[in-house]
Amino acid sequence: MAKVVIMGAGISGHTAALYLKRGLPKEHEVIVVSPNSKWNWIPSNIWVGVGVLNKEDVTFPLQPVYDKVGIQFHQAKAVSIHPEGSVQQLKPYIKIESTKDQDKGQTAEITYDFLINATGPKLNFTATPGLGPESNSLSVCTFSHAEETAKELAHCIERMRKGEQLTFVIGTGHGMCTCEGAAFEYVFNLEFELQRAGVRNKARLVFLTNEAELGDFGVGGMIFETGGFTVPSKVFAESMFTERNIEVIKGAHVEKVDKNSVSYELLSGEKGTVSFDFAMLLPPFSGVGLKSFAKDGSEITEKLFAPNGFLKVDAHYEAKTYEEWAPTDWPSTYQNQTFKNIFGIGIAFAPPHPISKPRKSKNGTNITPAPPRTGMPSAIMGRVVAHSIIEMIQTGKTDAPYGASLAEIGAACVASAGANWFKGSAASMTMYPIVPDYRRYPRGGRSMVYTFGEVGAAGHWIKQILHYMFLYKAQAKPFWWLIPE
Amino acid sequence: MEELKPGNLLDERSEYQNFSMKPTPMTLFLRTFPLWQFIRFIWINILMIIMIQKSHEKKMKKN
Repeated sequence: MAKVVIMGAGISGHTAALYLKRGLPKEHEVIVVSPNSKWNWIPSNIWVGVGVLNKEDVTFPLQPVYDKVGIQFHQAKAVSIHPEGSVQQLKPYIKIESTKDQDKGQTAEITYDFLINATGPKLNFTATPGLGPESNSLSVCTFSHAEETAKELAHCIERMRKGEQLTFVIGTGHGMCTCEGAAFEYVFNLEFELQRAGVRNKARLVFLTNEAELGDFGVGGMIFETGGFTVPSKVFAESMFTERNIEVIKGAHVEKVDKNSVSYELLSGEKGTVSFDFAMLLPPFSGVGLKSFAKDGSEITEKLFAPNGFLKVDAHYEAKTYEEWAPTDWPSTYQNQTFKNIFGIGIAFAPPHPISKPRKSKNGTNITPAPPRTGMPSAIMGRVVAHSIIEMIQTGKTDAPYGASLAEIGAACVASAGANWFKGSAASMTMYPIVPDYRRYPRGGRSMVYTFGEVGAAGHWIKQILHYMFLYKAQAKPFWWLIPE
Repeated sequence: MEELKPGNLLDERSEYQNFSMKPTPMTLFLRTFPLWQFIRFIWINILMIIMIQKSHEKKMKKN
């Protein structure tokens, strides 16, 4: 009998858990450890953040789903990994700390045969002084942050209805942030809701981003073929901002967030401040801070984790210049190469380097979007790793048999720009592959057929349908496995 | 504190002075015209399904 432990029940961890339970014979155990009692469809947090949805619309409790399919669930956070076991415990194990109200802080050990690290990120608000809901800015990274942001927005709308003129600053709160797409969606949904509330003329909207150019999205931008031209995503993104009269500050690293102003540095080295009445700024991510220990109790965290706290997998981590980057640098199996029964998926795996071109300001500040690894790719990783572990259990293989490198898979991204079936819209974008491969695709690094972008109500319909489909799938309702990641 | 505005603020006070592409009235109309959007919905879904299929094909090849 094998025991598979999954740390994290986000998009990648939950997907892996469901496929493992479905694919493994009943005698094998699948255990999920997550500090949250609820599953959250994070892409729809944008709509919670503008007050279109409630948090109940984007979440459901995990325990009943796991009870239904036969997965053991611990509401706890993982604290440390002991891949060699210890003197007393011969099997590898993890230490967990309960986050349940009734036994909060209580620790336990769970042994494993296979371990999947799908913890997601630590929202590193402390990287920028004054950033985050506990300081001076808002966020939509979690459903509770999004709910708080919606309340603040409702308050601002009331103030504008009374005649006040307000400034909204939306974007990334640090030069090394990822998920620029989420900030992009939020600013357009905000603009749409302000129009709907009849107060758009009372609002100044400013989009502040670490992208050197709009439309970079942490993937180095995309090239679309349209109207007889190859057109960079920058052109489309700029058009959307211009059309809605949203000001842009790009290539910016936020130095600090004060009560009502953001101070930033640009790639040019210039520094500036922008005052705000409402600021939604996303944080940079880091690993959740798991420690790892050898059998003798000595710390071996650096063997398992990169300095940023993400799990090392089968990527090429040696330092390379931008010119030397290759698609083969990217991991395929997500298997740790020291401990082959440990895998890292979703945001929790350490990428070898960014996808966007690294840039520094004249003062030496690194202003480079980190690579996105959420949503569709994250779920594909969960599924592929689940298939690998199932086969490894059945055949006794030590090398993971399946792969899904970001340099070989594509991603569909539907960025909402207003939640309404008839008046709303979204930018439907696909890219294939995610990591550009200039040898296979000399024109822009990606397939011109499967890399495209378009704005329209159809995009909103797709986003809305995906919302219901993925909530259905995550609840393991009948035939859930027919819905692709 | 006086607000600074470095040169890359894309502030379109004068409509055509920032040289960005802007949708024509026809494009704006089509973006929310249900019949056209239904056609685009079908087409985008076909492209996405093929792309998803290609991404899933890749998973069975290592080792």
